[in-house]
Amino acid sequence: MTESTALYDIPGPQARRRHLIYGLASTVVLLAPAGWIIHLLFDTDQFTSTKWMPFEYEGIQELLLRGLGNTLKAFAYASVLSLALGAALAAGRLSEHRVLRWVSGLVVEFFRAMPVLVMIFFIFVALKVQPLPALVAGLALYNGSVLAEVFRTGVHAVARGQGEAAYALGMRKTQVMTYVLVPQAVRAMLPAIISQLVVALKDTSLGFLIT
Amino acid sequence: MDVLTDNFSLYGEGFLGTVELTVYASALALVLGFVMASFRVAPVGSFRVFGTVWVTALRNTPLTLLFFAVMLGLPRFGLVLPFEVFAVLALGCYTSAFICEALRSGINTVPRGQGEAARGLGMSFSQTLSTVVLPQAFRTVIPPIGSNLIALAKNSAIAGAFSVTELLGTYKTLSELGYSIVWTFVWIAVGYLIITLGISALFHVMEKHWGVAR
Amino acid sequence: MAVADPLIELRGVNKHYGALHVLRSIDLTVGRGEVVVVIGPSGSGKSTLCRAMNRLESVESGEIVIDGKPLPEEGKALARLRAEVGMVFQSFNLFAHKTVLANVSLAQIKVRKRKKEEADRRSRELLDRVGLAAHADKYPAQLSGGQQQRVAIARALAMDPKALLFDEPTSALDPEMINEVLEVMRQLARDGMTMVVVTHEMGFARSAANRVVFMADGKIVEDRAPEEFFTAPRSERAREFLSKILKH
Repeated sequence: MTESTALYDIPGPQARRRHLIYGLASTVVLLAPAGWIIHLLFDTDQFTSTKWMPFEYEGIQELLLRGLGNTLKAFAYASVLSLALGAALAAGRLSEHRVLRWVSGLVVEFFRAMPVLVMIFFIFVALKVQPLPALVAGLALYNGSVLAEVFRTGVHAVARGQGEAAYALGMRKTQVMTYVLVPQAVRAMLPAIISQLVVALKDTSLGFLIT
Repeated sequence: MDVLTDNFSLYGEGFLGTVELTVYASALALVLGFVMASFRVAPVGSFRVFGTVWVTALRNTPLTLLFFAVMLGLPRFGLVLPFEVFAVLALGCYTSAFICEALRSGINTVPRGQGEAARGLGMSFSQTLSTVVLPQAFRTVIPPIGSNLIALAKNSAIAGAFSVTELLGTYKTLSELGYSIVWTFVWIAVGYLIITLGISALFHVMEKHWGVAR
Repeated sequence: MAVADPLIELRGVNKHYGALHVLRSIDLTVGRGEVVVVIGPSGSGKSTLCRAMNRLESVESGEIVIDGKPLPEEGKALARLRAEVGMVFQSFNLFAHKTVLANVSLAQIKVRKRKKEEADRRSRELLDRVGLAAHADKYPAQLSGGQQQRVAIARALAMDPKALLFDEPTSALDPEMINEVLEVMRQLARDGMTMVVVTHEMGFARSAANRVVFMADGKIVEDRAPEEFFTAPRSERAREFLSKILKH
């Protein structure tokens, strides 16, 4: 095994034989439904050439490409806006002014607790905004709030000594943040940031529900 | 305020619809997630492959797309079920991938030495699992499972777009009846807040109860 | 070395980690009541050797015989054997979610099938013996490293093992805690416990061991009485190792 967990002992010869038998049996059991599904697909004529013909039409291809383009456009706007909003809200939550901290905390908690779809529908229906901006705004509000928390935990995760060392050198809070804490936080949190952007990309498909 | 009092039963129905969806889909997600997690840490290669494929496929599919696949695809194969059941299937399967990963990383946080110490004392596999590994994994796993179930509750809003009775769907009826849309949404938001905050409170209690002693 | 009453015997044991040959045809016999200290540079295979004796590491070829019976490869037989051969780890490995008392009692109840009261009584006795009776209700994380390791020794003793294996028991400890653990181990040695100890503590090897086994590059290079080994090592490899260690 590549990963070592606390779970298993090193297998002995009997255990290895057992694993092999389970492996073969389960492969059969798991492949059977897969085969059945493929059979069903054939049976319902999903693989006949006429069903795939539409993809040869230029119109359809253009439609698919335009769809892809719109997805990427919505994603690009949404990700830039949510990164900016996330940074602003995180700065607010880390601020020294109690009111600012409190307000950004409230905003973050509210939008994180709300389904994205409710936000999108609200903006689309109640504020009568066009579908694309409504989608982008909803995604930005939600993902921005999540990213704000990611940034904040990132800054907190940077070892305390780093900030102390920077203050000891005579830097002011803004300088400590921009030169010392934030660069390290972003590096540490990059996987979380990227996976949140993937969530945003996937959620652009919600746009379908308001068109 | 009128929106709520005049249409209390409509809101109530939607609210209960969302709660029901959340509860059933959570149960499905927890069971499937547990099965898939045990597949992913199994010593048998084919189980691991299956678990990995399951998780990768579901985590990287937009939930909306999954809803379409289930609602439009399954009836093509003669599997016709009520929309509610389809919605539970889609939500449950989708979330099971995230639950699986939470469980797996929980198991991986238990140091290898804990298992070795247990086996070194002569404990069997099932004893090691039930008295040493799982109790420790369980503690670390509570918070991420909580946030995954909150995500599930929020994702259940998508079901409303597929004619399932739930909270977000009530806005259509209400706006047709001519009520203020803003207030309609305020009460919808309150409904979701009650559910998500409820789940988060429940998991806080569980974490307090089982999470700290160490 | 000829041993009168062998308890642990290894014959022609080999193991690889990928291309690395960590155990090269190891022959070693540990007699009943003997204390064998295994020393050697890091990466010499001494930990692997120790862990192979209760099959926390598998070996590829050769024979391991414990108390006249070949070491089982799996299943109930292996579990039974492991209950007879206690193991003390470098990183203590106390069960983090259980109190000190429960740590010592757990396997007595689950494996030895003792009643809880009986197991707890025995545990308190052993905790008293390692000087930790007052800490029975604490969690491992509340103890110092030295205290944790003494609990781990009590946990191993609670199974009434025929032999104890120590895999670098003091390597993870702060200097001031090493002695409290070594003192417990010395006492065990005086009481006649069969012990295999992988360690870097030369003082312990000198004072408590019946034999010193020096390993390098997966081979046993020397296997002799401690006084002889430390005063007049035969091999160049051992001389080099000792000169590096004893310089300070």
